[in-house]
Amino acid sequence: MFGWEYPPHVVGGLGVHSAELTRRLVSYGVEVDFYKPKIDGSPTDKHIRFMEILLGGAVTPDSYTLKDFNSAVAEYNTKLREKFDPIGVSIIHCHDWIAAEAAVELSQRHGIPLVSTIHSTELDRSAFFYPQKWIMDIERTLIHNSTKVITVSKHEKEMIRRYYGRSDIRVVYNGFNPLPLVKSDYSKRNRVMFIGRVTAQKGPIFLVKAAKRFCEETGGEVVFCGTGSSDFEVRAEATRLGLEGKVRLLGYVDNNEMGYWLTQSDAYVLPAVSEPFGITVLEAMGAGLPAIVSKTTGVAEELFNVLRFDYWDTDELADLMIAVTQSRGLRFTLGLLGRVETSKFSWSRCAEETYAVYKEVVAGG
Amino acid sequence: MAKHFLLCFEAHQPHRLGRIRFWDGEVSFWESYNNEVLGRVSSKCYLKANSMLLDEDTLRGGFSISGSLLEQLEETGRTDVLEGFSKLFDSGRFEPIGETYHHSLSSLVDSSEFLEQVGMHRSAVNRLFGVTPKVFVNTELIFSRRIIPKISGAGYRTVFAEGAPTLLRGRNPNMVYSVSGVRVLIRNNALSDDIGFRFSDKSWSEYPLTADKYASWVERSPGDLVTVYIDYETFGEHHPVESGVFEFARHLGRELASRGVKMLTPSEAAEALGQSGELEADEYTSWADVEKDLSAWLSNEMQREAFEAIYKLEAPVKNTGNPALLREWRLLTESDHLYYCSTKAQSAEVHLYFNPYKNPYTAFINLSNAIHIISKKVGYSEVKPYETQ
Repeated sequence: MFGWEYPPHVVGGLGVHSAELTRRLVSYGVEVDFYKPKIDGSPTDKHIRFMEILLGGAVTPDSYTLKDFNSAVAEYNTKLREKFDPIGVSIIHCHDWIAAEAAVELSQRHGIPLVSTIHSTELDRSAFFYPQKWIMDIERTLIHNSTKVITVSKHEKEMIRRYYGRSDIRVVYNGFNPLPLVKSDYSKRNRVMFIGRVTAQKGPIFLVKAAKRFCEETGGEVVFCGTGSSDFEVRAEATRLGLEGKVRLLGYVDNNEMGYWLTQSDAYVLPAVSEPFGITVLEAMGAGLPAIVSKTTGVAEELFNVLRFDYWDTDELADLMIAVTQSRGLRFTLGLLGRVETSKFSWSRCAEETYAVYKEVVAGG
Repeated sequence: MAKHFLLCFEAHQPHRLGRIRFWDGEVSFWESYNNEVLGRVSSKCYLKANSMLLDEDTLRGGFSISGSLLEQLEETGRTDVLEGFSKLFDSGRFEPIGETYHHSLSSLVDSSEFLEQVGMHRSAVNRLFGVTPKVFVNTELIFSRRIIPKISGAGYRTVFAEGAPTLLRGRNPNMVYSVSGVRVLIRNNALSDDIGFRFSDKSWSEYPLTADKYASWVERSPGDLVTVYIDYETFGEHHPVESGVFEFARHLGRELASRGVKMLTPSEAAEALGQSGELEADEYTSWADVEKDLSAWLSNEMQREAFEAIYKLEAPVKNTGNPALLREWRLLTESDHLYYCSTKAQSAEVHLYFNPYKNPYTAFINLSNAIHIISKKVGYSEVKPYETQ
C-alpha cells in the first residue's frame, strides 16, 4: 500500500483511513507493506510492515520536518521505484495522486494489479479555482492505469466520470470514529459552527454571506473552528458585511474546545464547493448536532436526516440556519435521528468493501 | 354473514405550501404544483370515476369531499368535476358526508374552530349540491370518546371510525356500535386496504383481485355491515386505469347483489341497522399508517411544536377580524402540512409518496416560516411560533 501520512502524525483524513483500513485488512489475513515517506515521526502501529522512505533535501535532517512539498513528492516517487520489493505482492493499492507515478510504473514493470482509492481530486481541493494541471495529469494517469478505482462517494465517482473519463468506479464510503461526547441539551444557543480547514474547497465564504441575513434576523453568531488559506478572505468579507463580532474565527482549536463548541451550537454547517466525503459531518452528527450540508458533499448523498442546500444558494443556507436556531423541535429531531443514522458508516464496512475489491482483482475480475 | 355493504370515498387535496423564507412578508402556496395535481387527479380520477359511478346504477355509497378540494375545484374552474359530484348526489344513490372544511386536526383542540369548520363544510356542500350531510367523518377517521361531544354539538348523530384493535378490543368490525349516544360505523380496514393499497400489488397472493372474489369475501364476513372507506384517488391515481380498478368497481354492485348483499348509503346504514353495544374509545384512533393513531401527524417534536404554534394563533387571528388573514391561517390547519413533517419514513414509503417535498425537514421549515409570517401579521409577539427561550 502506497500512502503519505499515518497516525500519529496526521494532517487529514488520508492517514486515519490508512490506519483504520489496514488494521481490519490484517484481521482478514491480508499482509500489508505500507510505504510512506518519513516525515515528522514514525508510526507506532505494529500490525503491518512500514517501509519508510528517507527523504534527503525535502526534509530537515534530524527532525524530518517537511521543507518543500513538491520536491518531497518527486523524491518519494523516485525512491519508491528503487525501494519497492515486489516479492509476494498481489496488489499495489495507491491512495490519491502523491505516489501515483511510482505506483503506475511499478504495477506495469512487475505485472502487479493496481487498485487506487481517490479520496479527493485536484478539482475538489482547488474548488475548481486554478487547479494545477500537472496534478490532474498524474491523477488521470493513475485512474486510467488502475485495475479498479475506488472513490469515497457517488459524488466523487461522478467527478471522475465527468473530468477524467472513467466510469467503472466502485464507491466505498469512509467510516468515522464517534467523538466522546453527545449533545443532550437542545435549548437555543443562537449559534452555528463550522469545523475544518478554512479553504476555498470548504466554501467558508458562502457561510459568511449567509451569516448576514442570519445575524440580522436572529441576532445569532457563526463560529469557525479551524484555519486555512481562506482565513483572510473570510475575515475581510465579514468586515465588509459589518459582521465583526458576529462571525468569529477561532483559528485552530484542540479537541476539548471543539467539543465545547459542538455542544454549545445549534448546528454544524459545511458549505463545501466539492467535498468528496466529509468525515466531520459524521463526527458532528454522531455527537447529536444537526448538520446543514451542501449537496456537493459526498457523505450527504447517503444521509436522510440532514438539511441540504446548493453551496452557492446563500438565501437558502440563511433560511436553514435561522430555522434550526429558532426551532427546538427541528434541532431535537435532526439531532436524534441524525445521530442514529450515522451508524450506517463504519470503518469495518469500509474495510470489508475494500477487501471485496481486492478479492475480485486477485481472482482476475 | 354480512348482508350490507357501505362504500365511502374521501376526496381531498391540500394547499401545499411554497418554499417560504423566514423573512418573507406573505405566505405563499405552491400553486404550480397544486394546479398540476388537481388537473391530473381531475382528469385521471374524479371525472372518470364520477361518470362510472353514475352509469353503474347498482352502486351506492358516500363521499366526504373536503372544503379545501371544493374551493380549489371552484377556483380553477373545474365545474365538470363539481357537476359530476352533483349528479351523483342527485341520483340519491350517493350522499355527502360531513367533515372539517380544511381536513384539519381541529377536533383535537379545545376551541370553537372545529365547530366553525364543520359548519363551513356543511354550508359549502349545501350551496354547491343542494344537499346536507347527515353523517360525519372526522379527518382521516380520527376518533375518540373525547371528540364525541363536539361531533354531536355540530349536529351529527352518526360517525365513522377506523376498525383499529385499540378501539374494537377484539370485537367484530362489521357491526354498528355507539359511543355516548352517537352511532359509530366501523371501517373494515382489511377489506378497505385490499382495494386501497393492495389492488395493483402483483406480489400479493390474491392478485389479481376480481369483483367476484371480493364480493365472496364480503358475503363470508361475519356481522351486519361491511364498511369500506378509501381515498377517492384510488381510482386512476393510486392505481392506474390499466390496473382494472374501474372495471372492478363497475362489477362490484352486481356481484354483491347476486350474493344477496345490499349496498347502502351512509344514512341508510345508520337508520337500518341496530347498535351492538357501547365502545369505550378512550384512545385516539385513525386510519393512518400501521399504528392507526395520531402518530402520522403528531409523533415528532417538530410536528408537536408546529401544531401548538398554529392553534396558539387562532384567537389572535380571529381577533383581527380580518377575513383574508383568517382564511390564510385556516389553510395552515390542513392536516397534510403536519403529515409531511413525519419522520417515520426514513426512505420512500407512504409518507414520502404523499410528501411533495420528499423530506420532512423542508416541509417543517416551510410550515414554521408560514406560522412566523402570520404571527408577525397579527403582531403576536407574546407567544412565538417557535420556542420562546
